[in-house]
Amino acid sequence: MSKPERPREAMRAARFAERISTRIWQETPSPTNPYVADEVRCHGYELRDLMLRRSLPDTVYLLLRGELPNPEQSRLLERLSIALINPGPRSAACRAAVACGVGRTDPAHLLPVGLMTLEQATEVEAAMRFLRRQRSSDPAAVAAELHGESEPDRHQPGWPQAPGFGRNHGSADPWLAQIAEDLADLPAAGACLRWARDFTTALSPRDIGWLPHGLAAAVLADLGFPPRSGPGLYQWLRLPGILAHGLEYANKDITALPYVDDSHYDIHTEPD
Amino acid sequence: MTSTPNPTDTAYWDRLRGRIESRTGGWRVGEAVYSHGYSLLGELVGELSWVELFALYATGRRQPRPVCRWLEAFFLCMSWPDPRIWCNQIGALGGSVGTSPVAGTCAGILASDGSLYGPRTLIDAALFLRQALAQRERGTTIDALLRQARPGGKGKPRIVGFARPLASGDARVDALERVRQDLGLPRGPHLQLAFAVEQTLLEKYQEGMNVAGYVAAFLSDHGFQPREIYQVSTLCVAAGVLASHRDQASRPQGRFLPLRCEDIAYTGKGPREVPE
Repeated sequence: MSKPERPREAMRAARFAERISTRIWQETPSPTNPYVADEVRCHGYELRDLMLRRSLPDTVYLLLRGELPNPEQSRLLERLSIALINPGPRSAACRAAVACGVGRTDPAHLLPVGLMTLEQATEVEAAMRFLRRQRSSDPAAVAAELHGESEPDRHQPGWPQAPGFGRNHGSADPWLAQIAEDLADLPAAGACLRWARDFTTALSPRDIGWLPHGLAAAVLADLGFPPRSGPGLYQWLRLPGILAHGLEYANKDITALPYVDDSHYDIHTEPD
Repeated sequence: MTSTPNPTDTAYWDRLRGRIESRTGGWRVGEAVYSHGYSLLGELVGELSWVELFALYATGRRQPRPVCRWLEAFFLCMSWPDPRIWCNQIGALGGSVGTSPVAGTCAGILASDGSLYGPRTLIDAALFLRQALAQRERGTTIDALLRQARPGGKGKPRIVGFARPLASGDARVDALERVRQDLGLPRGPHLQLAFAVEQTLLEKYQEGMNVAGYVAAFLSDHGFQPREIYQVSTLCVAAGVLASHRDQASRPQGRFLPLRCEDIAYTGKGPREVPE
């Protein structure tokens, strides 16, 4: 039988949209310039009214969910956004932004560089899916089962069996545990947050606890955000601290940071 | 009574609605991918190296093969797999926390786009040399040129392209000079001037030319405009960043320069209550 030939290159018969469409943002053109909007609405609400009457977390929720949050949901999102506002100066993301600062990188790049270096952002989606799958199960039983399957590596932050949970440099994180308790007590806290709190309680004798992106995943899942929005929302939550630390070092001398000298730099390579 | 404003003339933008005008090329399905007047797949693939194509795309002009061989040597000189260099450290940090190699490498490339090191510094170095060459041709001395420069530390003139942030001397200049000679490429007027400026700086301040000054001079001699020098250097740190990312990504997470809380010196305000 003869070998089938590869098809000749040709555009597939596909019907492309005539215009970009969006449910999110409506711009009414000014009567004198069709490229300029003189009224802007977000999911139907006039943006100026949102500016005057609602908060930033409310408007972010509206942008992504299509409806304004109720007061309890707003409070939960706002408190999460403050709790996670800064990954901290020891985080990879902030250290990347600081390296941009002393390296005199264009200030417009500090934030993208930091966000591209943000630890565990990608895993937020997996953590949200994990919590949505498990939230009706017995958290203690799940903890025992997963731990029995595979103990998390003591020196690694994550636990593949339970994305969003693990250890902070070998220990359960006590500060995150306290924040999680504060958030779980709020009226808008839902099944994911309460389940995860009980899950970490069951794991605490083994020194396993919350990771920051797990806390974000639990709250975002309870607020109804889809898992695929998790990584981006986690970046939004963390970005103010990344920007602040990068700007603190903008235009500082390179000697403002420690330098690992050659006596502390080991090279272990052999040419092929 | 307010008058009705006149409609804005938007013909300039209206003409472009729904159209793309390209000066680089494009894909005609079933026909060819056109690139700068060539068929990419029919004429350039298998004929050009990647660096030759990149130089074409960065400048819009085919560059002579020896110049592109030299460019490749320049890219190698900028590819240090050392995570103590700021852009590489960003790659290493990303690798250590599990970001993708694309994210880590892009972050490092983006970090190099600034005023201390990296591609953008080549613009100022090229502008200085072009202006200096014009002045020299009108009879200005090297000493006078240096006196015009901004003063730096210890009275040294601060000129982009001369002196380095971390170390004195620059072995990359020697390496690229060797490649230039091996390729039979001459020292043009910008490069001759750069070495003359360096000679005076060495005598007075023990500072030499750095790779930015050398590269800006060499490429200026080969017809590159300052912005084209910047563009062709866009990815020059990429390989070193990728190596730094890969090194840490191949290890368990969190091993790159871990920090205790006490490793951060807090110099801010003392503890205080949040006001109501």
